[in-house]
Amino acid sequence: MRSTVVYCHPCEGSLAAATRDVVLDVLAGSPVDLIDLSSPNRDTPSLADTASLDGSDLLVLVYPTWWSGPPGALQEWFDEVWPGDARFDSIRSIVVCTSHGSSKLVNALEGESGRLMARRYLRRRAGRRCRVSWVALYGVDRCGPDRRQRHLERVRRAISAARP
Amino acid sequence: MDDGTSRTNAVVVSDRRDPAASLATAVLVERLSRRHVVTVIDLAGFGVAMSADERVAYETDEPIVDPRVRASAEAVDRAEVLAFVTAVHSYGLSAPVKGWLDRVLVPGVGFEIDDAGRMRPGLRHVRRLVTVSVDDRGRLVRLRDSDGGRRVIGRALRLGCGWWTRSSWIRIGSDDSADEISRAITRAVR
Repeated sequence: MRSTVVYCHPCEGSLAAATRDVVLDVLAGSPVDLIDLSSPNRDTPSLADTASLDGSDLLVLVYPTWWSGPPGALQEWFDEVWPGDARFDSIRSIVVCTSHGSSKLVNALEGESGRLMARRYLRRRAGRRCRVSWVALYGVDRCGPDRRQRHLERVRRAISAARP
Repeated sequence: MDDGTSRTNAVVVSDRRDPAASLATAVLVERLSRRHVVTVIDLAGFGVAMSADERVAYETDEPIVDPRVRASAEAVDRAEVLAFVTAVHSYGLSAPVKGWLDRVLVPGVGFEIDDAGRMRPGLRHVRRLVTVSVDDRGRLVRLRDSDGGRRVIGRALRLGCGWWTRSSWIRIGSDDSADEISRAITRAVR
């Protein structure tokens, strides 16, 4: 089983970085391509990213939700690597690990654009019967270390369950 | 005689890489100029990604560190109309527009955080949101995939504005003629 992990957050020490580490820990021992969109050495989305997605069974997205959707850098990656006419039929499972500054209610009012992107746009352009898991921590700015730790445990379980 | 002092401010945030988007920007600016003093923010060369320095500053009382971001934030602070020109390349807003939202509409500009840590609207002075989206998807695909960009502007950003803020969404195609684009924008921005 091959996995692709797409990570997007500018700061080490963030919850997203901790989430990425948990994901990589669970996937250790199997082939994993990490696409770090925040790396200073990275220029633009590349053909290697497309090749990575092409052979992957599992896609994991790790990012903070800003203004109801993925950050601009991840949006750029989708625009370049996964436009509307692209399909990645090998992908059988997508796990989205994200955090929101506001509550679940506010996010529902805002339309949860990021969630719909995963559940509708990406799923329809992945393999047949692709499963999508959404692991989100709401109200991240007001939650303490206990909730963050529980979130990381949920991430660990979701990635373990997504491994075929 | 109108010397411009009685007119309110409008900001047009434009990702005009697509020719149709460029044309739409020109039409939109012309329409808005009749009643507003218009500031155009051209996103060419505006970085889509928030830097580590910006993310660290985000948590402080001085969340803006980039001069270009500061100029945008100052324009937004004065704006009564906030308009966007974007295009659908995958799902949602184009990356430059999304990056602009992430970097410019930070605490103190796009929203406030109260003493209890809850977010409060920061764009109450904005009375009108206008978006022109270059979108070649058919109606069925738009319904099936949902319209992510429209949700971000029409719901998430709209929640950051005042109660009476109106939001208009104008969809054009990349092959639309100049007349078609002009008519579509004129219908919404009179």
